[in-house]
Amino acid sequence: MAINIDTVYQRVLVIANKEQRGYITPQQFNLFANQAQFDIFENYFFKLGAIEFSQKNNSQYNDIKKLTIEKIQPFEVSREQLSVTATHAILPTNLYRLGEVFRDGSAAGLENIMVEEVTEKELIQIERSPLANYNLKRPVLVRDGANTRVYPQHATDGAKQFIKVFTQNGDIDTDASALVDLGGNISSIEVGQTVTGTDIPTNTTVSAINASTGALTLSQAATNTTADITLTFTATDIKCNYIRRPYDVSWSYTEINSTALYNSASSTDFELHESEENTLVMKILALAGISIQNPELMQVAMAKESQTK
Amino acid sequence: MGLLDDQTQQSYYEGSSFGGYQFVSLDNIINNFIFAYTGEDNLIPKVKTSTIAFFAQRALAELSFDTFKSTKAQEIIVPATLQMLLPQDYVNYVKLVWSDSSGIEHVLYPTGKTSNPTDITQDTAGDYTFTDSNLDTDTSSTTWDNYNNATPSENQDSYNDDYYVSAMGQRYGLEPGHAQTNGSFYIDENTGKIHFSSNISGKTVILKYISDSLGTDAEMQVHKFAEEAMYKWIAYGILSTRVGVPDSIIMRLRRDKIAETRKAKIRLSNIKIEEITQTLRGMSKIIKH
Repeated sequence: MAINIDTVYQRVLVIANKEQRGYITPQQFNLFANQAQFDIFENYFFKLGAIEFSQKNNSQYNDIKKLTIEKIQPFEVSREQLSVTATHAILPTNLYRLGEVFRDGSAAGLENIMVEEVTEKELIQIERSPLANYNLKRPVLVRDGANTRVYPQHATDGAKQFIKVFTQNGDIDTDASALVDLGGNISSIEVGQTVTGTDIPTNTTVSAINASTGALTLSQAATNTTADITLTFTATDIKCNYIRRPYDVSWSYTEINSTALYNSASSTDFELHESEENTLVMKILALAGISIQNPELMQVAMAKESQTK
Repeated sequence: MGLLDDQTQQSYYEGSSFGGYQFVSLDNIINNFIFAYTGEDNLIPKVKTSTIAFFAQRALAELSFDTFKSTKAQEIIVPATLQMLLPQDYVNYVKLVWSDSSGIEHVLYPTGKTSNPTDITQDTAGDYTFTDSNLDTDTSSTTWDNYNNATPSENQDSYNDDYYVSAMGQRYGLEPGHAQTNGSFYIDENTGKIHFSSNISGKTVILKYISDSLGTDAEMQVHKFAEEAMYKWIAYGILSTRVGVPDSIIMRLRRDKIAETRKAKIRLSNIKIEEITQTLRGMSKIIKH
């Protein structure tokens, strides 16, 4: 589905030379290519918004909305596990548009719960309305810079937190078992949570729980038997669906006999749909025209781009 | 996949929760509503879950008052104080009765001839007294204390005593509320207490009351007979508060809501042919109570 970057570069060069406009270096091309890719990518979302108001059809190949969604689909990331604290869910670094944040309860045998995004203003209004207020079954999140604050929260009681991050004292053995003190947050320990503490290897998770005795089975054995330690349990079930940013494209080359030869191994192709190839070429040409201060090249490119639309 | 496929018969009959199949939880109502009524090409393209939750709970409360079979009851032995605390989830009473040694219930009636007003403390000159600039009041009013200490009129055997003679229009019509010896009560909404007449002291009293079904998660459930009514209430609630929704849509939803509520009420009335037959048989009796 991807568009080969060398194909695009060669076409750009051919058209630019045919028009006697000059040479575009690989470094310039890479800059223009990323700009053009992002421009086209961003335009999908505005296009989808505009389609909402247009008449729909049932055609398999002529449904503009379906076609646009198909073009976005390669950038969709599903069920991405989020790093969490007791109050925040940390969003992925390559996030472009946030879809749904939810609790994936499949590992612990719990129901999935969607976290609804609200604004700060709405949060205040919701908190003041007893009937609309958030709870463990209707949690909400507020975007907080690059992260999200998730409600309900509670400083100490794990049962009242939506994101299950809390501590509980207990003992560990070297045979991948632990005995957690009863009381406190014992009822909030779930299968799949990560466990950290003295002598517990990283990436250890809870495999099974006996809530009445506090006996836990861990995914891997502790390195030593330790009594009376603080175990920290962290949820691994907060996930999100999102649209990621396109990868930066790059036309790489290997210099042989003073000639730059295309190196496919170190190059990164366009991730856009194949149907965008012509648009890409024209957008890159237009950007090159601006860069080399050749308005005629830009006009030619824009005229051709409008023909392809 | 059937709704019961996740639960074996053994796990049900050996469990501790029975009869739950007749109900749908409020969370499921909200989830079903989101799926069927909201989203692209549906009646409500975009709405927040908290908004749906608000209208779902409002619908549950409204339907609890006069459609659901949601009467609750509490029983106490009336103490010497002649008081009963209103339940935590009390909204209004259905009836108050006392039950005799045979378990037969006798209806108590509210008294409209007395009350428990705020008793303002006065000095010897009749002026109001204050403490820290606040008006002094007594915990109990003289009016209510006197009513409590008196023998209820319905318990006085003599019809010729001074109590009746001093009242204007005394004999020309006995008020039905006093034409019994069961006793009476007065609900003080401000203090959240029910006060009983003195002849109820030591008796077993049952308060039958209604709530709005919003007190706990466990009671936030809807009988399946009323599930459709809930969806119509929520849809009407959301769209009737929005700008730009055509009146025709709102009126249609209003009609749907009323029709579904009526249907739910009839279904939940639990009318059975055998019971109706007994009632009709009773029509031929001359004296009925």
